[in-house]
Amino acid sequence: MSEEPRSPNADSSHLLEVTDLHVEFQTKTGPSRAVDGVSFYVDEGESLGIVGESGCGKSVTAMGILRLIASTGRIASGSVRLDGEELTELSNSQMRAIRGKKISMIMQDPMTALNPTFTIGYQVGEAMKIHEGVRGKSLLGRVLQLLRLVNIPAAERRVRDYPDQFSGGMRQRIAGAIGISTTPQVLICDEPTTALDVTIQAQYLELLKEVQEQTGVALVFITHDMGIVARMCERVAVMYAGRVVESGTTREVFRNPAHPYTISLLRCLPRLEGVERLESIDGQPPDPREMPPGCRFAPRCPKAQQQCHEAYPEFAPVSSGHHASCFFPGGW
Amino acid sequence: MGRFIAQRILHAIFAMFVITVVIFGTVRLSGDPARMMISDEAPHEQYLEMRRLLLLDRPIPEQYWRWVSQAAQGDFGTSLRYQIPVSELVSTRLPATLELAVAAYGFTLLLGLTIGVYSAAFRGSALDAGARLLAVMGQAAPNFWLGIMLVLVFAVWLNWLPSGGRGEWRHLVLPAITLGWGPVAGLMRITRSSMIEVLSSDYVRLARVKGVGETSVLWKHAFKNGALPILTFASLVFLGLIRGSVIVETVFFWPGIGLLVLEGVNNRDFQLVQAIILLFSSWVIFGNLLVDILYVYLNPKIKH
Repeated sequence: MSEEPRSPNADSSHLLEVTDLHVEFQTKTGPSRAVDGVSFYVDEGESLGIVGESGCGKSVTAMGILRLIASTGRIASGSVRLDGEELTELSNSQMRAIRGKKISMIMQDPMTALNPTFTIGYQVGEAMKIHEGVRGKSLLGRVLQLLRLVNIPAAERRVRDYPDQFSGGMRQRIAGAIGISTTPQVLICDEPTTALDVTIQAQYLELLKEVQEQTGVALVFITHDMGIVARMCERVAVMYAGRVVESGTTREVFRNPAHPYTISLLRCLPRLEGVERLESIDGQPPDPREMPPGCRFAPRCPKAQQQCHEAYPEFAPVSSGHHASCFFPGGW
Repeated sequence: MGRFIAQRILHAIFAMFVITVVIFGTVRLSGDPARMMISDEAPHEQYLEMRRLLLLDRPIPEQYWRWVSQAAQGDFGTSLRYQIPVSELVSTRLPATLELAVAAYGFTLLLGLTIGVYSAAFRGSALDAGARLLAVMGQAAPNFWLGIMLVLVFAVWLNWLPSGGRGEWRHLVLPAITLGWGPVAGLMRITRSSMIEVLSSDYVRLARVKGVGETSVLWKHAFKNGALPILTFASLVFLGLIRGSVIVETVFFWPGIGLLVLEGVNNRDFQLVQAIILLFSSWVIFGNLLVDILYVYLNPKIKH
């Protein structure tokens, strides 16, 4: 495809750099491109938000980075470089050595992310056992340290407890402890707070920020919540129907959103001032098996012209470090 | 947890009581043992004498009480045919049945769990399809038929293995496969469906994210969670194997309890039949009790 968007910084080296990633799934009605040419990067100590509706391919992108796509899918093409190393070319065992060591992940739902049949002590310690060979007393010490870090009260006593003995908020913090246990370089947070209530959500995000300051971990937030992006991320990539349609610094994208989809997403955010009705975006994202030939947002776009239905707009700079795929960038 | 187990024990005791009544009643409804013991031309006095000897002339509740209280002390009376204590007879035959059941169970577990786990891990592959075919075949074939076919092929045609009797390990192979084959299919299917569910869970995904190796993901993280239904089924399978031994022991002339009870039925050896059926029943009831307790132990959700 000629219109494949390129990473804006393809030639410089970043900590994690995804370039033109394609992930395909086999379905009964033919291949489905859940991720169709996605590029982004993230640097040490930085936070990137990947935003989009459910089904836009953001979680598949995350699993693609980890090479944990379900057996019906595969990475069709593209590159994932971590610290200069091409992950798509590694053997399975080499990849296993990276998972949980250099890249880790916090799962979306704390109620299902922990294994109900193992103690939380075991689960928090497992990655350190595998990757760092820590055992026995020193492992227990590290586990307790992590549990205290994520504010689990009476950690000494509770390491032997099972997940169902903890509240949702505590479980999410435990999942966080697992994510940071091996001080990874990149931590992918898949909707890290959807299951938490608001005050706990704020505490949790604060905790992630503290960990980032201490360890320099790069955070990748996979979310549909622009609020989290505004609060946590220096940069943002907006995904729609398997592609990044806009990316840039959070400040710039929030101030001058270029893609109508981004604008619509921002209008869905509640604001303090005024009592205007919250907007929603009409229509559904396209079926990945039958993508429209032109801009994929065109069928739902209030600004769409003839041109938008015919060709896919190039991922072009809007301002410095701010790119978007739109023929008619800006508001309406 | 203690209360749960106490409750289960009470259930088991009650079930045992009902079972003893049913066994006692059924055996008495199935014919008159005293008649079997004497010739048809024998005078009526001799028949009455025999009834008195067997205590069959006493009131039914007294007979029941005598039987139950003696059985509780391990005294099951004397076999009418062999003229030795039933307990002695059973205990000489029991090792053979246990040997067969354990061998068959090993076969069932090895095949059922392995195929089940890997057909879940490689869902939709040729292995999975082959396993499903095996399952259908296994469940469709009755074990007496399977036994006869195995004898035909491996004993009669190929002459690799003996067709019956008990002795060295070669005698054990065909009856163990025959007895263990049926439940393989069921165990495999339970294992497969239970594992498929668990394998798509977030915590299995998280285990992979942590860099846990695939074998460990399957047999540790996933299997321990899928194990509950598998364990329940597998335990019931073992209980069922003892029952299945009646047919398989007959086909292979395996000198165990199964063969003994069949002989007992043919000979109206009611003391013997009562004892063995009671043994089978208590086996199932206390086996289930153990499964329940194990279930609690393995499921932290019930435990706490």
